Amino acid sequence: MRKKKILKIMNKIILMALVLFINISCDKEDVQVDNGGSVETTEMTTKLSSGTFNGENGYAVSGTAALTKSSVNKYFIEFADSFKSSFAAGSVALYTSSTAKLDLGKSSTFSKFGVTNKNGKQTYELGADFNLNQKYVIVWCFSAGVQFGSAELK
Amino acid sequence: VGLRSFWFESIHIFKLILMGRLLMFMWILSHSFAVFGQSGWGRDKGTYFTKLDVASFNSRSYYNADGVKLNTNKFMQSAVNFYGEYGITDHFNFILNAPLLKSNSFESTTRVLGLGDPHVELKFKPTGRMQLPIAVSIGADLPLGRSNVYATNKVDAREKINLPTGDGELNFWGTLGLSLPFSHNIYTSWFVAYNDRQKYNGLEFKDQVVYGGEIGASFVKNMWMNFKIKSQKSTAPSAHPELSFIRGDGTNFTQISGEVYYKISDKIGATFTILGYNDWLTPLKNIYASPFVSVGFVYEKKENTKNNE
Repeated sequence: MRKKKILKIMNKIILMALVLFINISCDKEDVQVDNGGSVETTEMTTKLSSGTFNGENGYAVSGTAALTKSSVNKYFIEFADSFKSSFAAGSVALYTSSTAKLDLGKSSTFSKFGVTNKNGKQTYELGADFNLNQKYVIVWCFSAGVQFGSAELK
Repeated sequence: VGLRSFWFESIHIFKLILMGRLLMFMWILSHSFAVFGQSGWGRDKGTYFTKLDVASFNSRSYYNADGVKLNTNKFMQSAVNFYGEYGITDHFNFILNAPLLKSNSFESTTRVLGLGDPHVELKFKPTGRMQLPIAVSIGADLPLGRSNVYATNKVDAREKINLPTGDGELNFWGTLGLSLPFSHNIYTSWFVAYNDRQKYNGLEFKDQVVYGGEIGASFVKNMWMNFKIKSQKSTAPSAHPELSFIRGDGTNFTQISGEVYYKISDKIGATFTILGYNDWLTPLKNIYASPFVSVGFVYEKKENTKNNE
């Protein structure tokens, strides 16, 4: 009796797992990230500084980023056409930071300005929490908590 | 006459040694925790072994493709696995190792669920059950798992991370196993395997060599213990390091485990396993490493009692 009961339970577990698999296998698996905060700007901007990305922790990030300022005192980070990062794992978060290694424990040291999953030219408007001490642009995998790369703005 | 007598004596002693070995094989085959995958032993025709286990794992220690340890957000994985062996004939066994349900997440993301890639294997025992416990097998990891499944960040829903439950690519395996009994209650098994990895979306991954061994013993009635060591080494560094985490390319590790199997009855048993990773045989690369446990239930149809060799 006990054996039959255990067998029945094992069968039920296997069946439930198969049903669950069939259900979850049929959904769409495309990653859908909106523009992540990137903007199309027609404002005239002046370049204040720029830097080249270096990959970190075994991840490849390359290309350049520039800090620009518009005539109405808005600040932007502009990625050049050459910007390239690893998006195999999904999308990455973008920060400006006053430290070369992003420290999410010190909120005064960084400002998050976007999320992206595409290479190439893109522009982001910086928020009110940005200040000119934040000289590093950081590419950060927010889910894993790993820095993929950074560029020092000079 | 003296030389003839010497040869007769020698052959007689050799026969006695062989008989002793045969008795050990029979005892171990009929009493041991009879998982024969990655060993030189195999099942008799019509017999089977099944195991359903649940394992849960979490770790903050990720060793990247260069072997550098990173401290990340906590990565969590749980799995319900089915393992089965069936004796098609006395020489051929079918093996299925299927992760029925895998759950992946970071502490910062939602959880994703899916089937893993089932492993199927055909095992051949060229010399039958009782002689030379060597076996060869060919197998494949079927890409039936979810090769792309995105978890959403809990804080910023715009950010997604791909945490697939299958690597999306067909793997072909060849395995050679060898087993030896030391006494009626102690045995050892060793194996070496080669994974011929194929392409995913036109990207080629590096093949892998896996080898390892185990020692099993029973000192208490109805209870077996085994200790295993297994190492996996990629034949070359990944050509696509940006894909290594989600496709398991360039993954190197040594895994050790200790398992206790308690036979509740002739057909039913329970297992408890502790597993962990280290760099004893190869540096850890592209892997989350942390100890974890697995609990399993076993149902088996035991070996035929007849001596068929």
